Amino acid sequence: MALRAVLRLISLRVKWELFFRLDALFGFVGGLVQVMAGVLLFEAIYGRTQAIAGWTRGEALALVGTLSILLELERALLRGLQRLPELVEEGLLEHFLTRPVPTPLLLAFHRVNLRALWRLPLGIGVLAYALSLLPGIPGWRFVPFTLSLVLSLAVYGLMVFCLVCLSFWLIRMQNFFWLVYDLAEFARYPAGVYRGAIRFLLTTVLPLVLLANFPVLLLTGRGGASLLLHQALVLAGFATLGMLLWRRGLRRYQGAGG
Amino acid sequence: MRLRPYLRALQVQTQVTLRYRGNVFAFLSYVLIPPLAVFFLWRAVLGGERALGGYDLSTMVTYYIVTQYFVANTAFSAWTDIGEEIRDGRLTLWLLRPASHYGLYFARNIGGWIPYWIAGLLGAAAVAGILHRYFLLPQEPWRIPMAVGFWLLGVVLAFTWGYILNLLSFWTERSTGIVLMADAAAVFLAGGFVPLDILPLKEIWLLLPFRFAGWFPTQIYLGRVGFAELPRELGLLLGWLLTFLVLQKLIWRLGLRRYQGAGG
Amino acid sequence: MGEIVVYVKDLRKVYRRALGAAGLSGAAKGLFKRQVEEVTALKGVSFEVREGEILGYIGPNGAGKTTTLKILAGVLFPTAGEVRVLGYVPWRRQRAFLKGISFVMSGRGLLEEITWDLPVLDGFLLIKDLYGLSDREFQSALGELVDLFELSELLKAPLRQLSHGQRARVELAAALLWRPRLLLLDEPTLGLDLMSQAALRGFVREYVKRTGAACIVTSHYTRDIEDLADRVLLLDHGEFVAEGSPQELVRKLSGMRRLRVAFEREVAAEELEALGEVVELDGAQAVFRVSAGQAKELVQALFARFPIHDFTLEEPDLEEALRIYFEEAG
Repeated sequence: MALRAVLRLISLRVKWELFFRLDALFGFVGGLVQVMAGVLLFEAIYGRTQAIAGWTRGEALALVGTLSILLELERALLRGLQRLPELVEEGLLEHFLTRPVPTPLLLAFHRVNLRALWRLPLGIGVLAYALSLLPGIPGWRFVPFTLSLVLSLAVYGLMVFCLVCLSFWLIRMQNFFWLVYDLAEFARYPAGVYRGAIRFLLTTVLPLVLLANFPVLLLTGRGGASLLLHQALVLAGFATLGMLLWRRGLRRYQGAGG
Repeated sequence: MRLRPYLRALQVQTQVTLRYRGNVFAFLSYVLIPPLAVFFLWRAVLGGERALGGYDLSTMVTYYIVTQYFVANTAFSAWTDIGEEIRDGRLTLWLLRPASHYGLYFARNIGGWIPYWIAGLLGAAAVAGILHRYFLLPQEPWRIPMAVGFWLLGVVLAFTWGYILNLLSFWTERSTGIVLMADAAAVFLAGGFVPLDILPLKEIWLLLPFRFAGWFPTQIYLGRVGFAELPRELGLLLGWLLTFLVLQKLIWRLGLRRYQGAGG
Repeated sequence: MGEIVVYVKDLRKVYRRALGAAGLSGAAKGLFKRQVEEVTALKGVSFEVREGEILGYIGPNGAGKTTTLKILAGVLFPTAGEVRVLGYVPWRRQRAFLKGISFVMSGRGLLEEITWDLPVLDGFLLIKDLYGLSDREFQSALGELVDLFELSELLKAPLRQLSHGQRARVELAAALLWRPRLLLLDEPTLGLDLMSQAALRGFVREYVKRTGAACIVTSHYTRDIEDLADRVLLLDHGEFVAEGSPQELVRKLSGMRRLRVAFEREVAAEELEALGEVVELDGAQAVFRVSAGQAKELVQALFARFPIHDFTLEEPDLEEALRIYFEEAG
């Protein structure tokens, strides 16, 4: 039943999106700037160096493309989560609470923004270009790549969710969730540049490096199935944390008043 | 010219901003995190005494910390409610008011940003502290006020540009999209993502005025621009600013005429 | 009478509210520390509602009406007290409980939140999936509600294009699609024109009659209460003040009557004021406010002194009774 509700939410948003084609163009240009900034950064570096921490130009560009795809998917599908602070403050959460479908699901998908998908070709384009620089990647590697990407999307979404749950305790922290989006800067760079404790931190507790790097590592064959297991464990961890924060936060909301 | 209404608007907006304390705290992360993240990349590239385009690791780290502060604190897409004012007819009040619409919104934007300017300094200081091994202070003390001075002019420039884009609301309801699109581009053009002078096609980027909102002030700070070159650059900056101000006035008049023609 | 749907005993609710300080330095201080005050919204309220019954819940702003509804809907916990709705503890938010109730707030509804630009029917389909209605259940409920609420021309229109009154109708119909057994309405007619208000009241009455659902309505408009409620609960500052049918409540709140007299000649205020409290005077017509016990005396006194064409003894309406009560309560 929850699944049908989510699918229905998504299909309704599709209809809604078709009203806003021109905005899609503007969004596209905005996305273009982001992606090109990433590409130009690596172009500037690789113009004078062969490798960054063992990563070749093709691999670095694959990272840019993959991260872009991931961020756009999150923007497209899970933006509804961002509204939690606003809903809590304006007492509109009641609309979502009084339904027999888990509220976090409703929240996550109620603002599916498919215009963001217009920006997917940018990331895919960069990824395709990157692949042209990396000869000999067998097609089957796209399977673990996609799986890894889906896991990363779920982890990223849960990170945002955990953060917005804090709005139950911190009122008027409307833009606090930008913290996760800022932290995503760490996801831009090849895993090799991080060492030691930082690297451990960024692949577990704050798994930002995991987000785009792991799928690329699986694609280029530099990493194996253990990466997928790693991601699954991190996902389980964040899912637990998310559930805990939501339950506690909801209790507080119910006690403190709308 | 009476300053009182503008100062008042500025103060009120500062108060309003402080109520949304979460936004101010979240802003700290924006000033702090990106330079920290990119540090790891550049350490891998420039570690061990290497240099790229004249930037060694310390220069690069300092570049990012300083530029991030400047760019984060420049409102490239000036905030106004002009679209709504047009739609619900409030704009008519402006035709009667003895204050400038541009001026008042400028004051409000500045007022709204003051808490961020201050909070941003804390963030910048924090990341400079974390990366203190690499963070450089200018050799010549005059460089700091000079950099800030150029930046402030750059802020006015950026605001005016954003304001002009907002004025497109007179002709289209889609101005929000345009403004946001321009915003993303402006951060790049100000050198927020990559130093403009190491990019391919740097001649183009260095021609545009957005460099004054980030990249150029940082060059002053870093000592990569000599004192003798400043007058010329100031002239260019003021030239751009004047152009934008004239353009703003012109478009405002045109827009207002259209608004009045349409019956308000 | 039907089963008990809502059972409330000694309901208490205390809120903690953050205070802000004025001025620039106050705002800066507010960055780090907020003062908190405690507000008691409900001080111990008890009542029951049965199937097929409509309870009116009235009181001034801040009386605790919305708080009570939110507790019954499971949105809030109480600070103390016992609550059972349809046999469930509301704040546990069990699925079967949520499928049995409907909470309608004034202002934006769920459809407005999610399907603003889309046709009304799409919003209904969302409700269908949210509540897991089968195609048959949905079609039958839809048919009935479209009929009852006169929605057939509105189904294809986007919510955005409808008038305020039409939107309220749609949101209310949407709130009944899954045939809830308890309807919680928080100021449902707020902001609507008189005709829409009356129409909405009619729909609610009809729904309750057809399905035997229980309903609790809060409203500022006493017409809503007089028209809809079988029983009324009056709340003031979180405390229960009076209860009864609308007429009983009137009587409990004020033992006053209105005596409307039509004289055969014009009378002056001074002539009448000696005899009793005059609330209206218009040439040869006057209205007195008099307590039930003294009405007979007043009539006799008037007859003795003036030529009277006709007179009637009226009870004040609920609105006036409330006004009198709150004036006296201070």
